[in-house]
Amino acid sequence: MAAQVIANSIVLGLTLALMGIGLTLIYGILLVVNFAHGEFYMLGAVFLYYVTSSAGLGYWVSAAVAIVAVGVLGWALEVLVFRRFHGDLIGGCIAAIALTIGIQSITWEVWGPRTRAVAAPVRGHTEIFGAVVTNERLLIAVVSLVSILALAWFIKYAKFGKAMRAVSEDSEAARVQGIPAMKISALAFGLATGLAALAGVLVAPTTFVNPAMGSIPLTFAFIVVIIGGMGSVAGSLIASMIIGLQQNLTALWLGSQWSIGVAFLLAIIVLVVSPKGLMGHD
Amino acid sequence: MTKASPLRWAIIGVLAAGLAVVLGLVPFVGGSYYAHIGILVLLNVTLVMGYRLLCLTGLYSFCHITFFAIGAYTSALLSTRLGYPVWICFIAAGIVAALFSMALIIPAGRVRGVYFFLVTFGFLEVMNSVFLHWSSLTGGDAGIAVFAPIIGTGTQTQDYFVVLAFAIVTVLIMYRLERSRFGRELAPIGSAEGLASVSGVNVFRNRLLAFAIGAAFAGFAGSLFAHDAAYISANDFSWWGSVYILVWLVIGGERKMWGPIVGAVVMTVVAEGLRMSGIMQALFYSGVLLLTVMAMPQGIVGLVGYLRAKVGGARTSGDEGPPPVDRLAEGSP
Repeated sequence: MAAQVIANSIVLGLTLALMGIGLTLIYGILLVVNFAHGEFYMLGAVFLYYVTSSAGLGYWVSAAVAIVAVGVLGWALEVLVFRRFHGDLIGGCIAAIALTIGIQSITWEVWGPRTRAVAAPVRGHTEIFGAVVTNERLLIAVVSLVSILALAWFIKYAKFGKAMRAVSEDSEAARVQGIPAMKISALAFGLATGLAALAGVLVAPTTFVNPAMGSIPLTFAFIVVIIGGMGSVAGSLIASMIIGLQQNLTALWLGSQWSIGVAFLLAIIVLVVSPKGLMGHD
Repeated sequence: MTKASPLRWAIIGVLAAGLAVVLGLVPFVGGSYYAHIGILVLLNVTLVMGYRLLCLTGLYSFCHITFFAIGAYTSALLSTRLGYPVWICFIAAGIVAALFSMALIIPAGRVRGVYFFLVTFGFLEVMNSVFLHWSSLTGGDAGIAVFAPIIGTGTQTQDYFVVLAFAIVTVLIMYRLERSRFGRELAPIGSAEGLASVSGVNVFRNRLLAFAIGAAFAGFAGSLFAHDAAYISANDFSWWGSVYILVWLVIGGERKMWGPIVGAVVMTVVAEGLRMSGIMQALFYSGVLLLTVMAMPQGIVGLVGYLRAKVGGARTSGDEGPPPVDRLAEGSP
C-alpha cells in the first residue's frame, strides 16, 4: 500500500514538474506569469495527434516534431508579444490570457467539439518493490526524470544555461557583461514551452486529447511554482514531489474531489509562512 | 477653477441628463433582454469599481469574483434556508464578503507583487472547491434555486431599476471615497510604499480597508445577482470571472474612476453582442485585449489623456488623476 502510494506520487510529481519548471523558468527570466502555459501543453498533444494521424509517423518522431513546433511557436510569441511585458505583472498576465483565448478558440475551430485518443507507445505494467505501475506511466516518469536532469545539467554547465541564470539573477548586469538578454529570454521561452509540449505528448496517450486539456495542468503548475518559489527550478522539482504525494494522500483520506482545494490551501500556507515559497527569488 | 468651468458644468449636466434618459429607457425600449444585459453591465461596473480600490495601492488580487460568489451564496442561503427578507440577505452578503476579505488579507498582506496575485488565486480555487464539493451547503454542481425576488414580482425591469440604483450609489460612494483622506492615501501607497509608510500613512490599514470595501460591494452585487438570476451554482464563479474584472480594469485604465466603468460597459456589451458567433467572439476578444495592452498600456484613460495633451497642449496639466501606479514597483527587486 505504502509502496503503491509512493510510486504513484513520484510518477505524478515528475509529470507535474515538467510544467512547473517551464513556468518557473519563464518567470525567473521574463518576470512574466505565463497564464498561457497550459495551451502549449495542449498544443503538444494536439500536434502529436495530427502528425501521427495525418503523416502516419510513429509516436516518437511525431512527439519530437510536436515539441519542436511548439518550442518555435513559443519563441516567436516571446519575440512578438511577451518581450514588451518583461517585469509587467498585470500587462503580462493580460497578454497571456489574451493568447490563451486566441489559441484555444482557433484550436476548437480546427479540432471540433470532440475528444480523440492517441495510441500509447508501450503496453503492459511493471512491478517495482510491490507497487504496480503501468508501463505508460513508467515511461512518463522516466522521460520526465531524464529531461529534468538534462535540463539541470544544461542550466548549470552549458554556456546558454549559464547565460540564462545570469539573466534570471540580474538582467541589467547580465547585459552589461555582454550577454544578449533579449535573445536569451526568447530562447528560454521556447525551451519552457517545449517542456510544456513534452509534458503534453507524454500524457496524451493516458488521457483524452481536446483543446481544453491544458487548464488542469496549468492549475497544478501554479501550485507547484507557488510552493517551490517563482524562478527556482530545484524548488519546483521539490514542490512537484510534495504535490504528487499530497494528491495521492488527499484522494486516499478525503476523496479525490478535494485534491485541488487542499493543494491550494497548502500553497497559501507555504506562501504566508515563507513569502517567497520554498526557494523562490524576487 | 478657470473661466471654462460654467461651460464645463453645462456639458457635464447635459451628458448626465442624456445618460439618465438612456439608462432609464433601457428596459422599455429593448424589453426584458435589454434589461437583462443592463443588469449584467451594471453589476459588472460595481464589481470593477470595488476591485480598483486595492489596485490603487499597487496590489492586484485575483479573487474578486470569489467575494461576488460569497455574497451570492450568503444571500441565497439566508433567504432559502432561514427565510430572511431580501434586504437583510443583501446587507449580510456584503458583510460576510468583507469579513472573508479581511480574514484573507491579514495573512496574505505579508506578500507582495506576483505572490499576492497567486495567493489570492489560491484562495479563489479553494473557495471554488468548497462551492463545488460541499454539496450539502452549496448544492454543488446542481446549485441553489433562489425564489425570493429583489422587489415586487421580480421582473427583469424591476430588477434593472434596483441594480441601477445600487450601481449609482456605488459609483457615488467610490467617488466620495477617492476624495476622502483614505482615498488620497491609496495612490501614494501604490507608487512608493516605503515613502508613504514613513510619511505616516498606515499602509496595512489602508489596504485592509480598500480590500474589505471592495469585497463588500462585490458581496452586495452577488446578492443582487442571486436574487435576480433566481439560480446560482458553482459554475457561475469560475476564475474567468476574475479574468474579466481584470480585463475591464486594464482596458479602461485604472488611473481614473471612469476608466474601469467604460472598460466594463464596453467589454460586457461587446461580449454579449458577439455571443452569436463563437470563434469570432473569442478572436475579437483576444485581439482587442492584446492590442490594448501592447499599444495603450494605460487603457482608454491613457489614450484620452494622450489625445487631450496633443490637442490642448499644457492646458490640461492641472487635470491629472492620481499618478500612474508603477506595476514594476512590487514585482521586481
